[in-house]
This record gives sequence, structure tokens and C-alpha cells, in this order.
Amino acid sequence: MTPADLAIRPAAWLGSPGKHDGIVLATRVRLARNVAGRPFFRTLAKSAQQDLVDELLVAVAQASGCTTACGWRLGRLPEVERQLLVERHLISREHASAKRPAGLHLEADELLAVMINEEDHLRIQAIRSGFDLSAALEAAVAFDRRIEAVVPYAIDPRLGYITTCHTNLGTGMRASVMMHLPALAESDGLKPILRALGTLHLTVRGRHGEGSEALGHHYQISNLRSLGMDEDTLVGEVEQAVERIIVAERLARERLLTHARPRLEDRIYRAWGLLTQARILASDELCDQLGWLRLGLALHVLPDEAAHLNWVTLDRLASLGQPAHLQLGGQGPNLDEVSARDAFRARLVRTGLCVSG
Amino acid sequence: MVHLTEIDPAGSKQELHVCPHCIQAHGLDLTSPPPLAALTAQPGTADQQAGVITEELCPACGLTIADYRQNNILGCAVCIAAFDRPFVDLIAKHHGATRHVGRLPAAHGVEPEKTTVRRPRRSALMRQLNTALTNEDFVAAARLRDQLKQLDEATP
Repeated sequence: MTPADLAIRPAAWLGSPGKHDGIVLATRVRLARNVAGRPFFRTLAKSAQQDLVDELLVAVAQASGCTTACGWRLGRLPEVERQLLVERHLISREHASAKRPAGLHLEADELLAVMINEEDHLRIQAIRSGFDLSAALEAAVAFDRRIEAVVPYAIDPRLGYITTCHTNLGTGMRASVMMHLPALAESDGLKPILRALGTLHLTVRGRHGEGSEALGHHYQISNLRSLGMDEDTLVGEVEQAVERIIVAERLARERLLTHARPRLEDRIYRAWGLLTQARILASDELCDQLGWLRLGLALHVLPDEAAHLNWVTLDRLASLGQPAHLQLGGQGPNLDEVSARDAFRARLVRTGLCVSG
Repeated sequence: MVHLTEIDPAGSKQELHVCPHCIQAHGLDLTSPPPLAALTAQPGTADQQAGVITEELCPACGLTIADYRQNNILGCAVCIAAFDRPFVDLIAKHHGATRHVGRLPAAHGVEPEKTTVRRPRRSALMRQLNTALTNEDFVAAARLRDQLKQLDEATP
């Protein structure tokens, strides 16, 4: 399998609406690990980094034991395939664009991936659909346990797992929950919540992690601290905050329905109109407008002609409409050009929403 | 005799009293100290101007704490011990703690069961139960109630 083979199917972790009306899209647990006695990328020669990447690709494959798992040297992949992996949340943007040797181990179900020589030697990440941090933690820890049997980890008796940055020391764990919060954003209820998260030692990032934008009102909530508390406690803190945000988003949705229904309908109906009529559709615009349709579907506020709309269609279009997915999976000419892609995306979405183009 | 005093950012003081012979052995050049004006006009401490190394240097990879502060990426695992107090201060400021209490690899002397089994905590289960009840998800609520009961029975 190559990354290009993934382009024709939606990301495995998509499974809207989940148990929370589509408010929580996915959860992820990432564990940062480094190899004992080996310098970090910053002070390691490139040739030595390549040796380490190869060594770890083999070791992780051995730990996995899964014959259908894939291992790739990122430097050998075309840029568009690396971008596809970013779009599927399998690697970070930094990992995709790094000029140094790097690798990715991917289990066949796409629910577990190991970034090699990202900021740390190993970053094990388990992703699950919906709000299920416990399952993600269990999967990440189980894989970590298998890797530690074949790779000696860098450990400090006082500080736990040694990481390249002091912000990840200790457990090396980051638990993230990807949320869709359009009603809070629309009603200005989001800012105080985001401020409060800072005091709870939690952080908010955009859809693609650090430095990315909150396109389509998608936000990632995750723990800021990783030392001084065990993994369960850290996960519990994120869970508790996310549960409160879910309640706040639900209340905000009810308020919109009760007090601002015309404005809400306008947003959703416009999104429907735009997506079913547009002849040129940019990726960001698709993400934004699909967000409003997600809200409309959750609240049963949709135009009559959209009565057939379902979550599978929205997940599928959100995934396959991304640039690298179109470029690698689309059946059209010149899809490596933005203008051709935007036109193809518009046609894909019109067709997907069951409107003849 | 020359008396040198180094004070690190954390405030700990180290004194060195050396004879002219040892000054050379330490590689220090105090024969032409910079004028006071130059010291005040240029960045850096008097010790730095005089060639005294005042910042922590990793003996394994050569990274300094100042290098680390620029992009928060260590050079190797040895840096942690080399940077010592300033690094611990960074850790304490970010995490509010300086000691790991989570899991460790089994090879580090911790019972595998303790390191790998996720033990559901009562408070987490209670929260999930409340959420399930709020959502009128009574099947999930029943399952969570049973888990709580089992946990209570298992805990002395």
C-alpha cells in the first residue's frame, strides 16, 4: 500500500455524529518517546538520522507484528502524498515538511500511527472516532508496551520519559479531543471558555494542531502539562473540560434555536445553497460551509430539499474534498492545479449532496 | 590572588579564589579588563565580557541552555543533567511539578501490571455516569453503574 491508496476512502476515524450530536469528531492520544543513548535530531548528523529512522521503522514493525502495517520513509514520498497524510491527521505538518530524514509506521486500520524522527524519535498516536479518550489511551499504551520490549527508551528516574522539549517531559502524553463548536463561536460564548481552559492548564489548537486555524469551527482541546500527574489523571482533566464544553455548546445551540433561529437558518441554508450551486469551491470554503451543514443536520434545521442529507455524506465530502485527496484520488484532468481542483471539488460536492450539476 | 564570583540565574553563588598561575590554567585573561563604559554599553554580563563561562553547557552535545531557550529542543538526554537548575525552573514553571508520577517501562523496575493497566478511577466513572444520565443513555448508565459497583467491591 502507498499513501495514495488512502485517497479514495474517508479517514477511518470519521464516524459522525457519535454520541454527542457531532460536537466531538475524534479523540487522540500521543506518546512522545526517545531512544536511550541516542542524540536528538538537533545534534545528530543527517546520515545518522537516516540510520536511526531505518532502525526504528524496523523495530516498530517488529513490535507491531502486523503484516499489513506500512512503513514509509517520508523523504521518498512525493510532497502530495505527505500532504495527504497530514490531511488524514496521521502526521503533523512539521513532520511532513521537515528537511531531515523521517518515517511513518501506519497500522492497516489507520487508527494507530508512529511518527519517526519528528520532534522526538518516536511519537506513538492512537486516534478514535468520537469522544473516547480511554480507548485511545489504552491503544497507545498497548503499542508503547510492545515497542519498549524492543527499543530501550530514554528515561530519567525523576522526570520520566525524556523528550526533546521540556513541555512534554514526564508522561510524554498529549490527549486531544477534536470538537466542532459553531454555536459557541457564533454566539461569542467561545472566548471565555477558551480563556478558562488556559487556567485549567489545557490548550486549544486548530484543526491540524499547533499554529493551524480553527477552520469550520473545529478546535482541538488538549492537556498542556505532562509531568507531575499520571496518564489517567491527565486524561480525566481533559475529559472533564470537554464534557463541560459539550454542555455549553448544546446550550448555545438551544439558545440559537430559541432566540436567533432566522440567523441560524440563514447560515445553514446559505451553506446548502452555496455547496449545491458553486462551480468553484476552495478547500477552506468547503470546510467552513460543511460545518454549518453539520450543525443543521444535528439540529434538524435544513431546507426541504436536503432532507436526505446524512452524516456519512458530510464526513465523506470533508475527507475526500481536501486538496491532496483530490489530487491523488480524483478522476479528473490537471488536478495538480488549484483552479482545476476547485472546479472538480465543486462538482464532487454537488454530486455528493445529490444535486445534479 | 584573584577572587571570582559566579551567580547563576537561579541565584546560587559559586566563588573561586585563584592565584596568577591558576588564572592561566583556567584560560582566563584579566590583564586588560574592558572599560566600564563598554561593559554597560554592550549586552552580556561582566563575566561573559571577561571570558568566564557562566551558562550551562552539555558536555555530550555542546548545547547551551541559551541555545535551548531559543527553540525548546534539547540536543540529547544528557542536556537535562547538564542544564540542571535553569532547566528544572523551566519544567516547574510549565508543569507546576518536577517529578514524574506516571507509568514507566517495565524494565525500570515497576511492576508491569502497574505500568500498563489503565485503572478506571471512580471520579471518572462518576462523571461518565452523570453524562450518560444527562443524555438519557440508560444502557450506558447501567453499564457504568455496574463498573462503579465492581470498583467499590474490589477496593478495600
